[in-house]
Amino acid sequence: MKSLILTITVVLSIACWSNIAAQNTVMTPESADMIFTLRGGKLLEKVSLQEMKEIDAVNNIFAQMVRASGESGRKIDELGINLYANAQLFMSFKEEGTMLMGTTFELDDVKVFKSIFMKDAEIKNELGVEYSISDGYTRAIKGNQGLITYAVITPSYEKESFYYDETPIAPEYYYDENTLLEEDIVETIPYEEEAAEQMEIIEDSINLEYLKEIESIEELSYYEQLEIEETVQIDEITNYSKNYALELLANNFSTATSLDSKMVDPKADFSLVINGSSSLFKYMMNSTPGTYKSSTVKQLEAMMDDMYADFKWMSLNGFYDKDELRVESNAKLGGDMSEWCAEMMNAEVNSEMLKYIPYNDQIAFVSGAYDTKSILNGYYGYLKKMVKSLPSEEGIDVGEVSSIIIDFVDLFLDENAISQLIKGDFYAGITDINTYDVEYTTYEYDEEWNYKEITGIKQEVLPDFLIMFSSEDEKNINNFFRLAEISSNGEFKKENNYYKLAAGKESPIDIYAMQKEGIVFIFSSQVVLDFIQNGGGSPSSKQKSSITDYSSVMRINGEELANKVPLEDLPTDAKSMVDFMRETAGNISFTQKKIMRDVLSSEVTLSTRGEHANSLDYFLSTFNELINMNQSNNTLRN
Amino acid sequence: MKYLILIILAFSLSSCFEIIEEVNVNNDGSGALSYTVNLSQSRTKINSLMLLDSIKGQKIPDENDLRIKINEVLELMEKTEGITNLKQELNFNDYIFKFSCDFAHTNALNEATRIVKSAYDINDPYANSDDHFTFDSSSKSFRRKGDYSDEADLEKVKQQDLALLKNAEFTGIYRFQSDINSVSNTETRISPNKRAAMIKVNVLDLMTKKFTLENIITLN
Repeated sequence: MKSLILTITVVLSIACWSNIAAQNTVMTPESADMIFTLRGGKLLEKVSLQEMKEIDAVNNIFAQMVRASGESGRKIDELGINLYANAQLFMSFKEEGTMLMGTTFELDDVKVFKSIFMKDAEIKNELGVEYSISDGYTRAIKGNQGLITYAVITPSYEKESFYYDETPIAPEYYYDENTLLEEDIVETIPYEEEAAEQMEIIEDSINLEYLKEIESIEELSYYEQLEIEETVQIDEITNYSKNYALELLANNFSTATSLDSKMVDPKADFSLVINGSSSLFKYMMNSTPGTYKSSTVKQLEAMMDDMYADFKWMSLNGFYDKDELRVESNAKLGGDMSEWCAEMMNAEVNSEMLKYIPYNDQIAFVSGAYDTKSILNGYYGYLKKMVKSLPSEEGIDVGEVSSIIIDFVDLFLDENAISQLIKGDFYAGITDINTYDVEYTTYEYDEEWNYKEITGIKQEVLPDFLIMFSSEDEKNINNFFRLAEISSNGEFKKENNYYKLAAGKESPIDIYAMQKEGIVFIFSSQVVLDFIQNGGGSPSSKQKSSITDYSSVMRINGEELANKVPLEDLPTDAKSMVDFMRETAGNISFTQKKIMRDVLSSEVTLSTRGEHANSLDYFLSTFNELINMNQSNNTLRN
Repeated sequence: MKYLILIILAFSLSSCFEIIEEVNVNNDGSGALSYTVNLSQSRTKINSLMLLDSIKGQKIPDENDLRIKINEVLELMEKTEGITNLKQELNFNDYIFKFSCDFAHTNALNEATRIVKSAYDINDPYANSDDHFTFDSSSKSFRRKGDYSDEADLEKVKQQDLALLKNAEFTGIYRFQSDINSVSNTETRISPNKRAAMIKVNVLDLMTKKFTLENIITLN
């Protein structure tokens, strides 16, 4: 499996350059559940092939590739693959743990490609397609179009998950039907034990008593039988993979799916589309170790269908811009989910809260605007939808019973009261990182080595933070503060209009709590206290919109964070990493937009630092330096 | 990920702990033992950890869990013949834990160790035998075992854990009713009245075998 992933990754990496922007969907089979596209032409415009070849990290990856094909000494542009053309990786998830993976790419030298990748097996020709099969891979060529497919269905002896039915089935994995009558096996092995025993064999394919019994009946060793089965299954999946590849190429991908332009942005350097999530999760479930009745599996699959029915598709589009790597994601929702998410996520941040955000002193922060009442109202409906298809147990409809229990829980919870207490909008930020004196207990020894406790002082690096959230329930917030005051033995006490937990045994830093203008504040700095007491600041409309335009936001100032980390106590490896980050770390940002037309959109950006032609250049050189640093640290350690 | 590493590094430094082992041995081999485990320097970190239910899949025990477990161990020790007057002081504010007991002979301490290890099926990879303390009243010699079988493989120890151990200290104090004649461990300091010996070593140095606790103290 590792070699499979490595090969696919490497082939994809080699063939990842394309500027055929319009051809996003041409090579993608209709049944694909996941499609990953890399546009090499765009990438090679940003970092030239020559520059790419000079990067150690890239060279290492391709060296692996060349080794895997039994070649050595070749460069990345000497594999017959058109590095400037589109490349796509697609996956189709089938039920019962079958997955088909394929990689499509364009060739600029068919002869060279054949000499490297198709040299280990006879090249055949069917339906106008040249192909060879080795190690389970089908490598097929038509014209200058290349396609590699591989199907995965875990053979029974190492299959991580399999099913048994209430109706006894012949344990076909363990006998050769040419030499054994099915009824012999059924009589020999009580069915009830069969599934569990199969699982044991899978986990620990060593002699089991009943296997010895079979051996004596069959006069075949267990391992010989496994070989038979393995061969049969490998042949089956290889044929499946081959037929799939031939059909696609022979028909010039005429069954290609038509990806919506909302899903894939042709301007992106790379894209990923997940076409519905149900099949993916079903595949994951089927690959999860366990032994299930087939009826249970069917019910679980129905549950998956219910759970993910409202997720239509998801896509990612990545852009290596001049100063940042930007990844946009979109998820198409449907049905109740869309309505629920819109109600839940399209809430507004309390406008009063905006003036208390220390815009210029944020090292990192996260903010969000959610509607607690909508979350609670929709949650129970969604939960009921999830449990609806739960499998019945001993004649009891578990789904229905669970649904009734959820209704009861819903009955007892007062959504209005909860949503008044916590409205759902919040801000949590790190405003500074400081070194504090912290007391601890240590010992002083006299001449006779008798010892007594003394107080020592050491320095600790701790963050100053500010947490805010809206509340319309002043009384109960006060109740919480009072309760904390009562239970803290006087350490948490009211001073003027705020509560303070003074630095000491309970906390190494002062912690303040107060409420004002419908906002609850919890923070750790006298500076912030003064800021709040004085009515906050006057943010610009740009500063306000950096919060209010989104459903949620997270930003980290990488340079500031790296600069605040003290180097003194760090291990050598970590020191060099922090030093490196002080020079190179940019900012990271995540924004979740409000839901528009059933689409949940978000964006992640990683900004660059220093002199770089563009963000791809920045990330490749940063990655390269990190690898070199790691190697250097390893050398020093040894 | 590197941002996460930074944040973790920023707030998890300067943690360390102290262990004090104090053994008072009478001329007949009886005596008193006390252990002090002082984690107060790591209080901030432990407080943070205690807020979590689990970390990396490992359950974080709460105060009650710890009390129950400690009591279980002490009850087992108490059943050992020759062990009396077991006491504990559990300070969960500063994370300082003290245990003490009297023993009729050092053999009783070793037996108690065996019982506890057996009850919890502890396979101590560092100890060759359970006789941590031996006192021979005829030759008037006390031995503190410190011959750990394996050097810790530092390659397998995470950098952050190493930083933690670098600042951790072990102090052993051994008192006698007779004057000390000689000590085998060169790191040992003898008190002016010659009735007490102390060894203070870094835990990481013990793990890497730079220093050992192995010590034979001969009395006059």
